[in-house]
Amino acid sequence: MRKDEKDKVGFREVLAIMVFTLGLKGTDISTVLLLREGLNAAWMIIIGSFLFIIPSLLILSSVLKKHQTKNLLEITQLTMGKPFAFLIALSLLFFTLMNTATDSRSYMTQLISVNFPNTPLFILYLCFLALCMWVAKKGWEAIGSIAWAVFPYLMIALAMLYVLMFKEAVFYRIFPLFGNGKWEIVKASFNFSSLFAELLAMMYPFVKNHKTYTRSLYSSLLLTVSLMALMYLSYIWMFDYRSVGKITYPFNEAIRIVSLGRNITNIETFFITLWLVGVFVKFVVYIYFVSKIFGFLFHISEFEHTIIPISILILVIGMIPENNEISLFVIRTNTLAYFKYLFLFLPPMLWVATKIREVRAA
Amino acid sequence: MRNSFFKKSKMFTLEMSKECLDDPILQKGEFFSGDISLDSTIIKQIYSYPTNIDFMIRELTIHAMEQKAVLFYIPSLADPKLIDEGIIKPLITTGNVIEDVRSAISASGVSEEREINNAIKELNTGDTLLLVEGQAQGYLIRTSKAAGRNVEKPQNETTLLGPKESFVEKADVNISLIRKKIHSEDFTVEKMVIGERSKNEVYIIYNRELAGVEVVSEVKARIGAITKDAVQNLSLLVQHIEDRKRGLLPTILQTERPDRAATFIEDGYVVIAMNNSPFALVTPATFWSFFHTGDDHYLRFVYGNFTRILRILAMFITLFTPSIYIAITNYHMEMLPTDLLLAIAGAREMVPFPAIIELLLLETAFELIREAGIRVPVPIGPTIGIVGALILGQAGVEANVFSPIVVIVVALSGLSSYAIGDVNLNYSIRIARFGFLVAAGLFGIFGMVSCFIVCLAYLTTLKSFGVPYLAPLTPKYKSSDDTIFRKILSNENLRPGFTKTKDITKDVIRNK
Repeated sequence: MRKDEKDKVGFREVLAIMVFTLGLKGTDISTVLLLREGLNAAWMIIIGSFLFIIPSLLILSSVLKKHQTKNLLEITQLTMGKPFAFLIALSLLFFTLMNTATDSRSYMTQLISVNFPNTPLFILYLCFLALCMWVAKKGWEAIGSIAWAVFPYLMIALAMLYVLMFKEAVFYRIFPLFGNGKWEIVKASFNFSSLFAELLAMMYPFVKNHKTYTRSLYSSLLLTVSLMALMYLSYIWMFDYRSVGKITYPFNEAIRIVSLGRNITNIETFFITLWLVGVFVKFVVYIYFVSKIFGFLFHISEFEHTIIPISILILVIGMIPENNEISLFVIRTNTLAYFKYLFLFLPPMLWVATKIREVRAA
Repeated sequence: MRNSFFKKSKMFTLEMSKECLDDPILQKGEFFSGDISLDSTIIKQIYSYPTNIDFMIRELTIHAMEQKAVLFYIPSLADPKLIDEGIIKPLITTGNVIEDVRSAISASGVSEEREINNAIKELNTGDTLLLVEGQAQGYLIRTSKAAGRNVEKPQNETTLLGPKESFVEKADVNISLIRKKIHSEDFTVEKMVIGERSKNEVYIIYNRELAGVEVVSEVKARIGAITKDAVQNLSLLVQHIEDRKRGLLPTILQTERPDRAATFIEDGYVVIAMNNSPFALVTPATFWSFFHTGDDHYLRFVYGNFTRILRILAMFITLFTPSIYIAITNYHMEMLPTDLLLAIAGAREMVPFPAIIELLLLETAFELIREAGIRVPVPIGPTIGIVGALILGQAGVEANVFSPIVVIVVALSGLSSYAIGDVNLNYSIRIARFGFLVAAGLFGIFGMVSCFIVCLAYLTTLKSFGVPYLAPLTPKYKSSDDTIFRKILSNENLRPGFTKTKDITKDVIRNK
């Protein structure tokens, strides 16, 4: 390998990573939140929140283009000074750490309550995080390669799942088209706009060049949004809005219902296997980013060394909530509510600050 | 007691060294004197003649020069017929006056050597040394001919439509087998000598205009860094120069097919050959070079890809069938149709062990049969099959030690493992299978996925001579994308970029 290629990944790897980290949100417990808000128009919330976040993403992209090879936090430090950057990084660290901890815990709870009723949560969680930690320590290139290596198979399985779900679907259930009402959807879209924002900004310095970054960003976002919207639509088609709000794990229910002909009726384990592969990749990426932000915050250039303590921290935080409901309704709702402003308004602020600096310099 | 033993051994070495000290020691860089009685005394002492019977001295008088001469050779390495016909006969019988000894000898390769040490080196490889009175130099005549077998059919890498010749234990034959497929002046063979004592020769073969400089220099550096008395053959050399010596996966390809080696050279790889090894090494090797076989490209596009599908399927079956069986029957029963579940439960009713123990037992038994099958003398080979199949399978099931389902599972995974052609990859997959089995026994599907991720992380970080193991799948390189599937031949017009080849496009030249 040439030296300059180190820690950089290409288009395919970024695409795979982004689709995994974001797309899996269509299968976890956050679907409950969205379906409760939007009922049978929940799929519109996905598209709506994407539209909300697009302007700031565009602005961010132009800001990043000006500062090649620097990440979001470094740019903040450059344009707005150290104290402000520290504050932003601290809140970002808090957000990602909380998010990773509660998310990983909720994924494990989901797995245990559906597939492993007899396995102790702590043991499974420990194994899961230990493995994620080990893979994260292998570095960014390895993560990208793993993501791309499994990406095609996961996409094939997903396509298969969609086809099978269509067999069970009743398409009239999409009506009334706007669910609770148009204004409600707009409000909910705004509330959930941080769904898509989490990692995109941090991704930048790890991509070969700006063109690859923008290309992979837009294509992966488009792919993810359409996949997620289709996923939500399928839930509604399969369960209808009355029951979909009462189901805890719509994804698991859906893969349990679908069947391959008359003989093979339960293929849920097959989908769970591939889903788990995706979950692993997702949390490897998360842990890597948390330690990256941590490294920036406390000026640790070799931030890979912080992966082990951070994973232990995640394990401890993740074990705190008593059950999934607390992690979902108390922690996640609040973090989502407050941190969307960070993602919505930080890029414009950066842009303005960059402009001001340019004018001053001129 | 231990102390006394050490004392004894010390005394012994002291005595030995005293004896050695009495002899005149040949200084490095000593030259031939021109006095053949003196020179032959030195050489006789070096070879401990006449105690050592594998050393011949032939004294003769060249009448045409009116000089005495003496010939030295090692009869087990040299060709006596060639010595008779090519050296002794012309020297003795010629009637003309000899002015230049080289012109008087009819053997093909003759060189002059002034240093005794260098002459000894060549003598050790089977050459004949000729000393003539009054000349302060020796003539080294190529007469080497070691015993060995002829070119035969490949044993491990069989093909349906490919060439049917394989490497033998002689490096020069092996090089000529490759060479006859590449008629190019860029074809380069370099020689390196390793092993302080036994002076083993290693041949590095590559195409000067195609092979990447980094890989060639890396290969040379690694071979040069070996500090060993003797490295007898390539199987041992591999273990000195490979990347992760404790790793599960092989990083250097061993092939016994000259046509494969030639194809790799044409793609810019570096091939290593050595005496005493009926195969060649290919560096750098990726996962795909182990996965592919020679037949993939000899068969037509559709058939070739069909065999590739079968092979990857066999690989997955070998790796996953036993662990899937354990995961499903222990953790995810709902996956099976009810009838099948009842059938399995019924078959297992009388079995006293848990499924995982049962499977581990039978898998181990299968591996034992397999290992025994390799070591067993050929005449009683069929017995192994009978013992394995009848006693272990049939009787084990009837005695309710195993359930028939487990026999099916083990047989399926064992049979599929034979479809993986490469010996090294075969071993690593068979070992990895046990890891999956244990993981599935502990955590069901979760354990299997964890194990899979571990394997994948290992694969993606592994490198062979600086080349990522899964290239060109990930990370991406310019290449013909010959990974799981291959393209139509006319579309394969790029050399693999990960070898850092000097010329990535395969030139299209109009045929005349």
